[in-house]
Amino acid sequence: MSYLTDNNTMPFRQYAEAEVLNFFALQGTGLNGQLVSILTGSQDPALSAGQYLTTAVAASYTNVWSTRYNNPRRVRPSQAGDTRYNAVGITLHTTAVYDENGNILANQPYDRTLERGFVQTGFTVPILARGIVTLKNQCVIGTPFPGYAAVISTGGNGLIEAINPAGAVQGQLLTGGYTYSGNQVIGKFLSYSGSAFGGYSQLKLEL
Amino acid sequence: MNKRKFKVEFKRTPEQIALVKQMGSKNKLQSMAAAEALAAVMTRPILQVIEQAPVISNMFTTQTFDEGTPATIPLDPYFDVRNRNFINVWQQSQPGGTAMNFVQGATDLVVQTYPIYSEIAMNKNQLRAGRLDYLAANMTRIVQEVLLVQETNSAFVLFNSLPNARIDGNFANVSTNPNNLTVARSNTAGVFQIDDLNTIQIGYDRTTASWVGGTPVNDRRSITDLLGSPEWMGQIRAMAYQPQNTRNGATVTQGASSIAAPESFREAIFNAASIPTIFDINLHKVYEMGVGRPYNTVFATAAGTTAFVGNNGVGSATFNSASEQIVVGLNSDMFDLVRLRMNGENGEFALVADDSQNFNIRSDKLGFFGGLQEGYVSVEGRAKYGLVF
Repeated sequence: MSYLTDNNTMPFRQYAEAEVLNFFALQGTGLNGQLVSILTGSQDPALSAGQYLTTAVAASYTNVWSTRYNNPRRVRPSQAGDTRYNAVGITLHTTAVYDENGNILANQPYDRTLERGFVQTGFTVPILARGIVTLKNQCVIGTPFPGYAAVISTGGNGLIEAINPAGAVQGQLLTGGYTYSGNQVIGKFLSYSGSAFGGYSQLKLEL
Repeated sequence: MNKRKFKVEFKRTPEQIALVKQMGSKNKLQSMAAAEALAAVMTRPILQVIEQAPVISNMFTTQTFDEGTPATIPLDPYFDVRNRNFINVWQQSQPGGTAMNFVQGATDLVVQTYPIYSEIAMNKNQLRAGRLDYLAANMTRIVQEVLLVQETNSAFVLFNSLPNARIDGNFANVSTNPNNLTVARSNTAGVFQIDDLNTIQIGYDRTTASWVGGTPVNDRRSITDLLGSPEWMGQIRAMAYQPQNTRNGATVTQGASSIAAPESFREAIFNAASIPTIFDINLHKVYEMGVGRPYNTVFATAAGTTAFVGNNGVGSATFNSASEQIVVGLNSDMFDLVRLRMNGENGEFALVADDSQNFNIRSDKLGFFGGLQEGYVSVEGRAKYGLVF
């Protein structure tokens, strides 16, 4: 996995493994570092182990049945209207169909995909609920600043918005014409934006 | 330490009890050493239970692949030489090279394998008390959780491959020709009788056994196993006292269509405890099959709008899961149902004593997690034949 193209989380991080949820798959594909929320429907705990779909893994042959496996319990990128309560956390792996070389992940050894930070579509993706991660600026709207609040962006796509809490009025955070309430705050920024890799910042996630 | 078919059991020997007591020790090093020793020897017995206890996933042939290698099955070598135009017998004069059947290796079937893991937490005070049964019950629980996922997944593959099989290999060829499918219907709606066993066997004989100009010689090209609901098994038993003929004789007399099976046949069924075979076909009772049961629904969804041959071979109709059920015949001698399982550092089943923060000394608990990574496929849909009744 390339840190330039397939990754939105940088190596520096600090968290306890108990804060990593392994219950959900990401709806569709997406780079890691994405804030995700629970997709209602198909959240029966009995479905956690996954089940087969009827779509072929790769090439399809008549009289041959080899289909994709899938965890029906899903999360989706957080969007406008989400709160810190239906937001689950930040994805630690990239959910994709192809790797950085354009090779299909389903055709590669499962552990080989995991160790490179990839999860095949439909498979369970590790999600961090609490801890410190370093996010590329692609994940963040606004300019990260130490002590700024991190909120669920109204822009959707699982983005996080950096907001100066000094402007808070009765628990309401105001920025760019939008109003955020306290239940949309997911953590705080600990750093300025770094200069390399197009900018990155440290986020203390608290969900 | 030994095992039975459905659960893990331990022998009550002084050594076993001492090991269990050591696992319950408040000394972390002693406890972990005993737990790891147990995990090392338990993987094989657990795997044996996993492979013996289930019904449907047992029908799958286990193939393994090494950790770190792609989970694929090269299909070319498994193509049956009886497939039309596959083999050519030739002769030539002595000089010159020889021709051969070349394995292209082009058809690499990708199998998506997935981890099936479970974890348990045991109370150490039960272990300190030397409760071998408590340990065995927890190990059985790991097995059961893995089995549950395996059975569900393998059944999905089985019941989806059946209605999607095409005798001529042309997936589109069903709209006007239900005889291209490997599913038939009973002679009489709601009734399974000897005639239907015959239908399955004839249907399967016409599915794969014949190729142009030949007849099978060496191996058995017939249905070896039948899977059905408890109600279906009841109808098998009912062959002992219900009429079995399906047509009248040339001279119509009273009771012409109410002739029972021969005395010796009925007697054999009466005397059989569980009727494991009939016509040399193994019979398997599957509780999840039958009207209103999960696997019937799986088959109904897979069949969709596909119209199967009607009762007594007349007309065609879609599968009605509210009133009909499926009986599945398998040729287990044929290379079809495959369970592809990863062979890792600890073998095919990994059982590990958990040393995570959940199991510190103060919690007074001991944990194991274990599981395997595998995937299920059907590589030849025509190795099955189903009957709706």
